[in-house]
Amino acid sequence: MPDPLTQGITDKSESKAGAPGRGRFLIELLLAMVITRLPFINVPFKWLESYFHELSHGLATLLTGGIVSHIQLFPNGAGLCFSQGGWPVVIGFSGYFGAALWGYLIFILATWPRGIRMSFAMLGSAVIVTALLWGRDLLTISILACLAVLFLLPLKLSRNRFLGSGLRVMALMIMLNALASPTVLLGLNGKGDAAMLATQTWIPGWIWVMAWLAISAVMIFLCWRRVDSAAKNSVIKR
Amino acid sequence: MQIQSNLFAPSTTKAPGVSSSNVKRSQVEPSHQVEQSHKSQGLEASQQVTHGQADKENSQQHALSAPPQNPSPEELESRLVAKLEYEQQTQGTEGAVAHYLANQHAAQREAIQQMVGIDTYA
Repeated sequence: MPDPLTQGITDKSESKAGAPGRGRFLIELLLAMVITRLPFINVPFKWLESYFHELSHGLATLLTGGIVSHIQLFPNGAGLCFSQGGWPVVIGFSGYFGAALWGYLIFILATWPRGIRMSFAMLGSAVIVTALLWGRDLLTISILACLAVLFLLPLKLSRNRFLGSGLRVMALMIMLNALASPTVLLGLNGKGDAAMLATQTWIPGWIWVMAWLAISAVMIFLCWRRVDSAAKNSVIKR
Repeated sequence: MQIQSNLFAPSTTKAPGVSSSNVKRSQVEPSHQVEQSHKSQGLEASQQVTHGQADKENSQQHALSAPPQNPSPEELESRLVAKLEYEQQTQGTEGAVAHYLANQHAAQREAIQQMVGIDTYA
């Protein structure tokens, strides 16, 4: 019978082992950057960031005591969350912050080889539940259906290694989109979450945009830190 | 009833624009008026009173039969100015009333908007 303490350490080292090497991570980051800039191919991944953005608005609304009516997703990557009540500052801030945070959490899940299939299934299920609860129009439901396929189809693959890489690239794309999207708000006067937060708090909109950029950059850096620490641990073990 | 009111307030029943000097007193028969007055009202009216009453009735008849006098241009102008002033004041007060109505139930309106209004987050 294995020692529980040893078993715990072994599991932990295995989960760390699921993290990619530094070179692999940089390749995955480069691949994510390229895909986010490829026309047409980047469209579903824009939807992915938009979905997590609106999902974060919705969850923040529920957590602050509000009610979510529905969400709308558009083919160009835009999205809307219709809600009642809640705390507007938290709800407004949660969009870009939540997208970056979701990206980081998905990256962490992608470094867990044993749970990689469950992670894909959970994310696909979350998209389906969102479509059932908050999807009202045909376009939004269609986009959510595409995202559900994006998460559930890789489960057909037999090798977990590809699944892990695929999910990490997706997570990095979400974070990169979360990093790029707030910059669009700088060109929008009186529109978007930054303008709403500026009216709510009297803090200029560009400060909010900078905060979101910093948070997204920190999330990507945390991913690197995780990869780096895993690589160091593996060197020490050898 | 007409006679009574004339007795107590004879000066208020003059027709506008008609003076008592224009009335022909020869058209009035005092004795007949006195008898009529006694019969109808039971009052011991003097001849002066009857004369006054006759003057009044005649002046009213004259005012009805005579064509209306045209107001002078000054009078018309003063009326026009008064009307314009009145309308200007009305426009000014309309704005004030509109502002008042807009803010009258502001707190309740905001509470209802928060209750039923939908917030949109992009």
